[in-house]
Amino acid sequence: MLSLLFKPKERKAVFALMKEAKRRGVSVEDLMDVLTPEELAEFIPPDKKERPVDVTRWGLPADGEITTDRFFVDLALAEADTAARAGDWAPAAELLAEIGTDWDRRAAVVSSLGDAAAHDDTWLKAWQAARPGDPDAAVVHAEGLVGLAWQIRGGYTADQTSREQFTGFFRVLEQAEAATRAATELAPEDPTPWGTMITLARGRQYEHEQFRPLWNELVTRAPLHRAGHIQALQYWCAKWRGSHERMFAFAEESAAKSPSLAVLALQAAHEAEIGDAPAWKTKQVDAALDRLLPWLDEAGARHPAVREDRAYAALALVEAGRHGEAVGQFRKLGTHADGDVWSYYAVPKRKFLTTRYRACRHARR
Amino acid sequence: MRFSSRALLAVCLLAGFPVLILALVAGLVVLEIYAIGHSPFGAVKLAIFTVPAGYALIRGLFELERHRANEESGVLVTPETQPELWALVRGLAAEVGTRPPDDIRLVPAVNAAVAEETRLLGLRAVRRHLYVGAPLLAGLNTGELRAVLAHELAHYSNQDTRLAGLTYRGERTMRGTLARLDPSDWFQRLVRRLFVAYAKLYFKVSRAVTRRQELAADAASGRIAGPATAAGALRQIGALDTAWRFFVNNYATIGWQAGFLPRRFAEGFGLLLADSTRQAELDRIRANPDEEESPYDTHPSMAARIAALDGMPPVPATPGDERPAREILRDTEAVLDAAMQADLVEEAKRKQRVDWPTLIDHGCRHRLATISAGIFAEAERALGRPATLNTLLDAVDAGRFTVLADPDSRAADGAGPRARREFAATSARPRLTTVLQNALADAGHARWTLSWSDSAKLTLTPPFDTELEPAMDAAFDGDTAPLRTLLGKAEISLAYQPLVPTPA
Repeated sequence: MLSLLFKPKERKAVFALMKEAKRRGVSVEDLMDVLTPEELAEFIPPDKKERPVDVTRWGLPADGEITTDRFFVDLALAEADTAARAGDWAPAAELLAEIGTDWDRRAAVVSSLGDAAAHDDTWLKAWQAARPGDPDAAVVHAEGLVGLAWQIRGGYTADQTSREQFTGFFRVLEQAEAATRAATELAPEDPTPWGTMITLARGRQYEHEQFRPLWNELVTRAPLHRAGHIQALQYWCAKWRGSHERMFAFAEESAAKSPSLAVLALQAAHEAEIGDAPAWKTKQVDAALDRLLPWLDEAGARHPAVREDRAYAALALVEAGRHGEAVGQFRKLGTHADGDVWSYYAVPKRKFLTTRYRACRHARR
Repeated sequence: MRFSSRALLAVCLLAGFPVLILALVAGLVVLEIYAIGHSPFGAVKLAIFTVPAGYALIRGLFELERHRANEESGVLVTPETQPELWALVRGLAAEVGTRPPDDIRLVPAVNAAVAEETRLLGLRAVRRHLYVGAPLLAGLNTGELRAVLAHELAHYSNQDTRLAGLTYRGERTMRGTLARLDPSDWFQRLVRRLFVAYAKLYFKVSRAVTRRQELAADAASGRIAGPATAAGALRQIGALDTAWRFFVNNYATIGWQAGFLPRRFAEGFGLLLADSTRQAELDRIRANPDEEESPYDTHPSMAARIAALDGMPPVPATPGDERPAREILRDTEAVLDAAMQADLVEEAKRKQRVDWPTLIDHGCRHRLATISAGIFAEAERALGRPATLNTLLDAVDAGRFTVLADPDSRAADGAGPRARREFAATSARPRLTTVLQNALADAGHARWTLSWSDSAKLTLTPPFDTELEPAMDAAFDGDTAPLRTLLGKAEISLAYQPLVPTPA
C-alpha cells in the first residue's frame, strides 16, 4: 500500500497524509494503520481519467449502492456457507454429496467452505468428529489449512512480509500438504485436493520438476479444472516460480482449451501490467475477450465463476478501449464489487468505481 | 620525491579548500557591510543566515590543527624484548631502501599500517610508527608476514606517507566542516552543497593517487617476498579479517554481559583458526577475495590487487617461509594475549578471567536468562499480573498464545481469528522453549558445550533431552500435562520465575 503512494504522481497524497498525521499527532505509519480504506482513498488524489461520472445515466447502480460483500451465484452454497459460519456443518456435507462430479462447482464450494474453516474451524471439527474419514470433510480441511497459511502470511509481497509471518506460513503449509495427501487418498477420483495441492506447491516454492507430476494428477482427473488452472497460472508468474514468458505461454495454452479458461489470458495480462509490462492492448486479450463474452451469456452463465470472469472482462474491456462492452459487463455485475481482480488494489471498491467511470465516460448511452 | 600530476592536483585542491572557506566568509562579510550601508533592517535579517554559517565555516577550518593521531593503540614491542621481529623489520626496511620505524606496536586488529608524524605540512618527518595486527602474527606464515611488512615499509620509500599525512588531515577538515553545517538551515544547506561538490571532486582525484600508491607498494612486496606469497598474504588477510571479527563477537566477548572474559585470548583465536570446519569456511573466503571496492577506501579491491600480483614474474621461495609467523616472537602466547586485548575498555579489568569452556557456558546461560526474563516481563504486561511458569502454562492450556507471543510480531492484515491464533502459537512456541530451557539450566539440568566449529550447543541432561520436545508438541496440541510432569521431575516449582541476571 505504501509503495503505491510513493509513485511520483501520488506524492501529493504523501504530503496530505503527513499533514493529517501531524494534525492527529501520530506518525504516518500509525496513521496508515488506523485509516479505513475509504478514509485513505480520500487522500489519494483523483486521476484525471478517473474523475467521477454519474453512471446511473448508463443504467448502472449508483456509487452509494456498491458493496464489496460477496454475491452468491449458487444459492445452495450461500446457505451452506452461512450455516457453516454459524457452526452447522450439515448443509455443507449435504451440498457436497449432492454435487458429485461437477468438479468446477465442487471446487467453488470447497474454496468457499475452506475459507470459512480458515477463519474458524469449530464447525469443521464437529463434522470430522461426527463422520471420521469423510472425504468431503477432508477436502475442505485441506483447503482450509491452505487458506489459513495464506492468512498468516498476508497478501503482500515478500519484502513486506515479516520473518514470523513466513515461519507460520511454511509451518501451516506443511500441515496442509499432509492433509491434502490424506484427502487425495480418501477421494482418489477427486481432482479437488489436487487443485489444493497446486496452490500449496506454489506456497512451498516447489521446483518445476516437483510441480509437474502434481499438475498431471490434476489434469488426468479433470483436464479443464478451472480453479487448478487459475492457481497454476499464479505458479508460472514471475513473482512466484515462473517468468512473464512462461506465464503467457501457460495462459495461451489454457485459454485455447476452452472458453471457460479464456479468462487466464486476461489474468496474465493483468499480472504483466501490475509488473509494469504493458499487455492490455494486445490481440491475445482481444481474442480472449471474443471467446469469453459469448460464453458468459450462454453456457457460462451458470458457471460458478461467472462473476469472477465478468469482473476480469470488465476491466480488460476498459483497458483495451472497448468501453461500450465494458458497461454491459458492469450492468451484469450490479452492486457487488466482489471479484478477486478488485482485491489486487489497496481499496478494491475504489478500483471498481473508477473502472466504471472510465467505461461510462467513453461509452455511448 | 616523485609527484605525478594527479598527486599535485590533489594537493592543490586540498590547499584550495581553506581558500574556498576564507573566500566564502569574506564574501559574507562584504555582503553584510554593504547591507548595513543600505538597509540596516535588511542587514539584521541577512545576518540571521550569514553569521551562523560563517561561524560554522571558521570552526571547521581550525578543527584540523587540534587533531592528534591515536598513537596509544596496542602494545609497544622494543628491540630488546623482540629482537627477531625487529631484525626482520630492519632487514626489510633495508631491502626497500628506507629508514626502519622508530617504534613497533602490536595492535588488536587485522591490519598493518605505517604512520609518520610530520611537520611543515608533511615536508619534514619526525617519527615513524609501524603497527602490526596481532591476529596477523597469529594467522600468517613467515613469508606472508614479510610480504605484509614489505608492503607497509614500501610506503615509506615511496614517500607516500608524508603526502598521506597531509591528505589525511585535509580530509578531516573537509568532513569536519561539512559536519558543522546545519542541514536544517536553508542557507547552510546551500553552502554545504557547494562544499560537498568540492569534496567529491577532491576525493575522486586523491583516491586515484592513493590507489596507485597501494599498487606500487604491492609491487615492492611482490619483489621481496615473491608475488605468489604476497598474493597469498592478501587472500589470508581477507580470511583473517572475517575470522577475527567472528572470534571477537561470538567467542571472546560472549561472556561480557555476564562479567567474564577469556583467560587466554590468543589460545582461543589459534584454536578457531585450526578448526577443520572453520578452515573450510576460511578456504572459501581465500578462494573468493573481496571484489567490492568502496569509493571511500584508499585501497583498490583485494581481487584487483591479487590480479596485479599474479601478473608479476615469479620469485623463488625463501627457505622457512612456511613457518608460522608467530614463531618470530619471543614469549609468543603472552605477547599476543596482551596485544589482542590491549584496546579493551577500562571496564574489562573488572571482568573475571576464566577458561574457554567456562566462559562459553556462563556467557550463553546469561544470555538465555536475559531473554527469558524479557519474555516473562512481556507476559506480565499481557496478563496484567505477575507471571510464573504456572500462569504461562495455563495460558497455553487456554489457547491464549498471545500471552507468550512476541508483542512486536503482528499478524498479517486480514488474518482471521484462527490465523491469529496460529500466528501467535508460531511465535509463542520457541519462546516457551527458551523459558523452559532456562528453568532447566537454573535447576542444573542444562549446560552449554564449547565448539570451535559451531555455535555452543545446549545439552539437557537425560531424560529431559528426549522428553522436552514431545511435551512441547503435546502442549501446543492443547495438553500441558506432560510438560508439568517434566517440570516436576526436574524439581522446578510451577511458581518459578527467572532471576533477572545482573552483570557480575
